[in-house]
Amino acid sequence: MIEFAEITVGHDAGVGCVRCRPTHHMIGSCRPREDIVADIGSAVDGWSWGCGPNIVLLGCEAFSHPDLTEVVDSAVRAGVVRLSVRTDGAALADPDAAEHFVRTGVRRIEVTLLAGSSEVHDRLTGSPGSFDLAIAGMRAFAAASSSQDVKTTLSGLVPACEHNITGIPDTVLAFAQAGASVVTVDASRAKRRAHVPWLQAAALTGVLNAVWVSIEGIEPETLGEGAAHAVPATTCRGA
Amino acid sequence: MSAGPLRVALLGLSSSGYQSLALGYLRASAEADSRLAGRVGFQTLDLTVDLDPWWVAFRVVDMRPDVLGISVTCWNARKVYELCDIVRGAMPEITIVLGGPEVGPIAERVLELNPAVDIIVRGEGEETFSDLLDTLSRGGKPWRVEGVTARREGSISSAPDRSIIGTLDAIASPYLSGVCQPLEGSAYIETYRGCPHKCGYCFEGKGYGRVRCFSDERVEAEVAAIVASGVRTFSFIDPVFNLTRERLGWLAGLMEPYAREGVRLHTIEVDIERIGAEEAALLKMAGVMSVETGPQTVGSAALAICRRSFDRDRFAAGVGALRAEGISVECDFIVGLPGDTLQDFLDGLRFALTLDPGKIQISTLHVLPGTDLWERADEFGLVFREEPPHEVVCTAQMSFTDLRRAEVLGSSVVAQYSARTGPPVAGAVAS
Repeated sequence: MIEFAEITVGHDAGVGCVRCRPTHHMIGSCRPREDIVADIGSAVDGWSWGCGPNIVLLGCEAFSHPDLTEVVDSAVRAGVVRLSVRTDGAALADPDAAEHFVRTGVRRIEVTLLAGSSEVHDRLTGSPGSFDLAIAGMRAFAAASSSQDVKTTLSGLVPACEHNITGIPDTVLAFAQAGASVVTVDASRAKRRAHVPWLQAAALTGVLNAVWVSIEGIEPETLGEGAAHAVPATTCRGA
Repeated sequence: MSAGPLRVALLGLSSSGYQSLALGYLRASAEADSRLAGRVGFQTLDLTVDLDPWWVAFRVVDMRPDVLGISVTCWNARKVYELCDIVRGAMPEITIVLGGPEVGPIAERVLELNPAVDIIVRGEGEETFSDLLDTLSRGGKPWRVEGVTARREGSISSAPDRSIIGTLDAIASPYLSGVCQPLEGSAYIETYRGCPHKCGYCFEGKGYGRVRCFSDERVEAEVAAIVASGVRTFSFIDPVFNLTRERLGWLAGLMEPYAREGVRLHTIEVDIERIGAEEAALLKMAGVMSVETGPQTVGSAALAICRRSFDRDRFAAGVGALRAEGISVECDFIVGLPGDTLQDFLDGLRFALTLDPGKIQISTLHVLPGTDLWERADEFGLVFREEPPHEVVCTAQMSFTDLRRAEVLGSSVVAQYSARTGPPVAGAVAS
């Protein structure tokens, strides 16, 4: 429905299941600020996707980019209407950081969780403590928005795989409890027939908790009555 | 009844920050009625709907009224009924009178279901309520008052309908009489009653029949009184502010001097398909910051059932004209209209997002008493809660779960849309 242009700020493996891809611990690299700002300018100038321009900063842990504040400033000055950051949430667990980035102009964060509990999420990511930090980051972001009387949104990302599929409904619930309005489940690695009921349950968990769960990477008809959950609230595309 | 004047308590339970204009009209009209002078005394309790009915009952009982009059909408009805039960228990002799769009069209049913309630005022209340108070203060029979439904010796009796008030200026002004003190941001002026449209889900056009206007002088005096009170932002409650091009021109001319001094109008309801560059300029001249409009749906079947028209190009042109003048547009959609499918709802959302109006509002259909949809629900396969606020449960086209999915998707999209880094789509109106 609402489009976001993807702006790559660096490269790392992101939050993922180490049992599927053991290389998820690799160290990332950041792109130069000038290159990112140039990409943002191009995205704004060429915007043709309806309400916007909107961008999402991704590719590596954006909040660890040394020039992120300047990048966000540049985006705001360039006329970006909705500015989103894809993150593991940890950097925002510091309330001062959350306050800073809301004040700077970040209005949406996309946080990835692999499970709805610290035990499973930390084991699947190989990062002890990462679940608690992600939740704390989401809550701090929401608190900062509230304290500054600014409308922001929190989106969840769940890369589904055979190692976390049975916990997807709990993961959606964790996002709901953290204040998310949208959760996107990437089901491209969870296409087996046995996985479908968990995806359907995740969608229903979202509806019951007022969170829209969109399920990507799977044919809508596979979801039966839940086929509507193939409709995304937001879409991210290459700029 | 107590010795001396009849003590009347008027109670409103509104959303936080709002006051009940209906109570203002009722009290102003009754106080202006020479028959009641010295025989009836009034107190108004303008409270919020979120309050505990036991606490509200405490406030009411503490006033020791002979008559309790409450304005009822679908939003406060459940609280009102609970309150009536409590007050009845504490004050067996009190006369409880309800009025408003929630109870008027189904007066006998409300009395059957709510033994604590004595009387329902149907339709336009100002004249009926004054007549009723006159009758009660003389010990007369309330069921003989035109526009009243009341208990009568173990049964329920309805007097004939009262004709709508021919000359609106005959109704005393809540603001000019001093009954209502205008509140910043939530003062409303009504310049006419009725609606040119007959939308199936709305009571406005059906309940009031033809459009009747307050005089220009009356409206001018109310605007002046509100501005003189220090209020800088208020609104008009008219269903269509741009009722005619001529009337819009008059209202813009009326408001222009105030707008130049910084007075602003918010959430003005407009027929956006009749707004071009000239009309948008007039709205800006009037100090309008934001307008509210449909389309409610873009689905052709629902539009036909609800007797609404929708021209995609003219609608878009209207939004564009208003945006060009820096006026924010709120596009409203209703989930659950009969005839609409989930795809229709999604099409509507996509249409609104394409226009980038500034604000998108999504609400679930409430099948209101007295509306066309209420009366023809079976015909349309519309299932809704009998209890207020009468939310739609399912339709012939959308299952219960489809409707809930649409609500969640809609509110999620609106949340994403509203979270803007940059300034709102339309900025403040330039002085």
